[in-house]
Formats: sequence, C-alpha cells, structure tokens
Amino acid sequence: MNPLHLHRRKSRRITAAVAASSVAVVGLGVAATALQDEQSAASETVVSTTQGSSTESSTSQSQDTQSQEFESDSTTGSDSSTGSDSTTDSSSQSSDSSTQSDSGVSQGSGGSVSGRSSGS
Amino acid sequence: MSAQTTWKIWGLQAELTVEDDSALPAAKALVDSVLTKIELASSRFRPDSELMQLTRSGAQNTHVSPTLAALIDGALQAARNSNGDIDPLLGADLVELGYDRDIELLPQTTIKDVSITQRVLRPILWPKIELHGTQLTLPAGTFLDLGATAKAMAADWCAAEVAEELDTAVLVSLGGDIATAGTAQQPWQILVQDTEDAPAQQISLHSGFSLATSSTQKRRWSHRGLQMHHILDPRFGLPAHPVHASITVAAPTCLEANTYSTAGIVRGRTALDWFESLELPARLVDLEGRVHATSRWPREALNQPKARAHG
Repeated sequence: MNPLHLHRRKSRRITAAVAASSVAVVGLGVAATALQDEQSAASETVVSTTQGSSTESSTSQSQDTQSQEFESDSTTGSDSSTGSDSTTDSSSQSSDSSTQSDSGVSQGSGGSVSGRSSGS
Repeated sequence: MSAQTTWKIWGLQAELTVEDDSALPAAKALVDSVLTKIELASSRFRPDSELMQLTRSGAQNTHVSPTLAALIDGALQAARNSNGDIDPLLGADLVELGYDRDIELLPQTTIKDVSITQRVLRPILWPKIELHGTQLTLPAGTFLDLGATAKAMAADWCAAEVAEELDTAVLVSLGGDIATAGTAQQPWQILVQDTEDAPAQQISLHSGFSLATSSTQKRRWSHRGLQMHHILDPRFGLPAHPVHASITVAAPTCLEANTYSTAGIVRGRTALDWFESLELPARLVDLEGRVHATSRWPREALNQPKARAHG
C-alpha cells in the first residue's frame, strides 16, 4: 500500500499538511479521533519523504477502541480553499468604527503606532 | 506625552508604553518585577523554577505559590473556554518534539530525509487537574506547560500593575500579545501584522482591551526532519495542521484573546465560524496571505497606508 495515498474514512477526522521547500517538503499529518482516556488504542502514522524537489505526506489512522469524538464539528468536510483571490476577503465586515467600540477595536486613525500584534 | 521602551525577554520582543512619560522608569521596574515572578514560577527552561520542581516531584495536594496557582487557574480557564483546544499538560509533548530549551537555541535545519514514525494518540488529562486555592494535584506523570497562557497573563498583570500603581494609561506587549490598562486619551494605535511579508492593518485598540496574535509562522524549529511550530493540537501532541498563518483576536483580557487566537489555530477551518458565534472581533490570515475577518473586526480604512512593521 502506498502510504502517500491513504483513503479517508468517514468516521475519522484526517488532516494532512504538506510543507514545501526547494529541497525538501516535510509532511506532517494527524489523524483524528480523539481519545479521552488512557486506554486509547489508536495511533497515527506520520510519513514524510523527499522526491526530488517535492515531497508529499499523508497520515493514516489505525483502529481505535473505546474512543469518542472529541469535537463534534469536523475539519474534513471541505478541502476547498477559503475566500477568493483577492487580498482581503472580509465580506462579513459591515461595521464602522463608531459601532465597534464595544468590541474593543475600531478602524485605525492613522496616527503613530504604539504596538504591533504579531505571533510569537 | 507618551514614552516607550522595548527589550527582549523569553525570546520575545517586549514593549512598554505609558501615556505619562515620567512614569516610564518606575513602570519598567514594576513590569520587570512581575515578569521575574512569573518566570520563577512557570518557566520550563529554568531548572530552579517552581514548575520544574513540580515536574520532578509531582503534585499530590501540593502547596504552590499564589503566582503559580493563578497561572494554572488561568490555563484551566483557557482549557475550558476552548473546549480543550488549549491544554496545560502539553509539557512532555513539547519536550518530545525537541522544544526543551529556549526557542532561539533550537535547530532550524531541514533534514532531507525520509521519516516514518508512529505515535499513540495522547490522553486528555487536564480535566483531572485539581486546584483548590494553592493546593495542586496533577495527574501522575504529567508535565505542565503554561506557555500558551502565561505570556498573555503576564501582559495582563503588568498592565494592571502599572496603571494601578502609577495612575497612567499603559500598553504592554509581550511578543505581540498586547494588554492595556488605565484610560488613554486616545485609543492605542496597533499594527496587526505577523511576519514582515504578511498583510498589515492598523487598528485602534480601546483602553482596557487586549489583542493577541497566534502564528504558525513563528517559533518554528526542526525535529527529526519535520518542521515544527509551537501550537500543538492537544489530541495528538503534534503541531496543529496549519490552515492559518496567523489569527488575531481582541478581548477584554489578553488571556481571553490569546485563548481564542491559539484555539483558532488548532480548530483550523472552523475557527472563523466559531469566532463569529462567540461575537469575537477576529482577523485570520490564511497560508496564502488572504485576510478573513469576523463582523466585529474593523474594516480596513480606505485611506490607510500599507503599514510596515517595525521591530
């Protein structure tokens, strides 16, 4: 069996990530049915391989026992990318600054910046 | 007139801005004191920290300091509010993935190799943590990691301390987790931008509110040929599948903001709808650099220049 082309099963939540670089792509996948006690018997397989300038990745989920869904909503319902090709997809935004003060944020005033919020 | 100072701590850029510039030296001293207290209580990278002592000895109805108790309590709040997407017991998983020292000391080399590993799904044990006042019991063999929440709480505590002690409006940023306190004459102007090439937006942050950004593009390292980032999916103890490059959330406290921004990374595609259902102002940047936002996130000003980051 080609581990890079494992099929999804409806009862499982399966996600896979493929990261690319010029020389190697490292894949990291996680398979998904969360187990909530120490008797968990499920496991996952993480596969990554390099094929010239690209690498694919996939993940499989082995059988599990005494498992239950950790989260009801699934992340595997759609593989479609979000939004359009535009730089900004914020169609749901409808408020202006005057209505957003209760949320703690509003449009920038263009003045000098006091801080930057970025990941760390 | 306001004044600002910046410095590095915990591998992060820290910023302190006070509206009363004469208060800056005293404010910095207060912030340093709070951060030192938090580090001594909860650092995973200091053998002498209280958390590492607990890791070695375990905790069975063990007395802990009020600082550590408060940090654990905050982490448990985050776990509950995120339905477990934030898990304070990921310490062993992070160590197993190689994140056992300051991020700046971790290898960044990509290994061009084939790697196949198997991993048992991890049990979810945080609901078994018992904290009554300062009496703590941890599930046997577990290892706390409070990194996801302690930084945000540190920002909250520093801002509150400065405003209360020095009677000035203040903004504290720890690695981009921003807390404010006191009443500023004007809303704080914040640049929301993760990496240098990520889309930027300048927003106004009102006094008493906080902002946190979680990123899958920062705090990355290489472990056994796999690229890691620091936000783990608690179900597997592995870096969350990166649907978003970054997520920014505003909330009354930095702890809340960080809880939701981090949990959103774990939730992936369902994060936007989740934020909307919670009526949170949130901005999500996907891996292609497209920006998505909830209805409570401010629109980008039409005349706003494309701000670029500093620092």
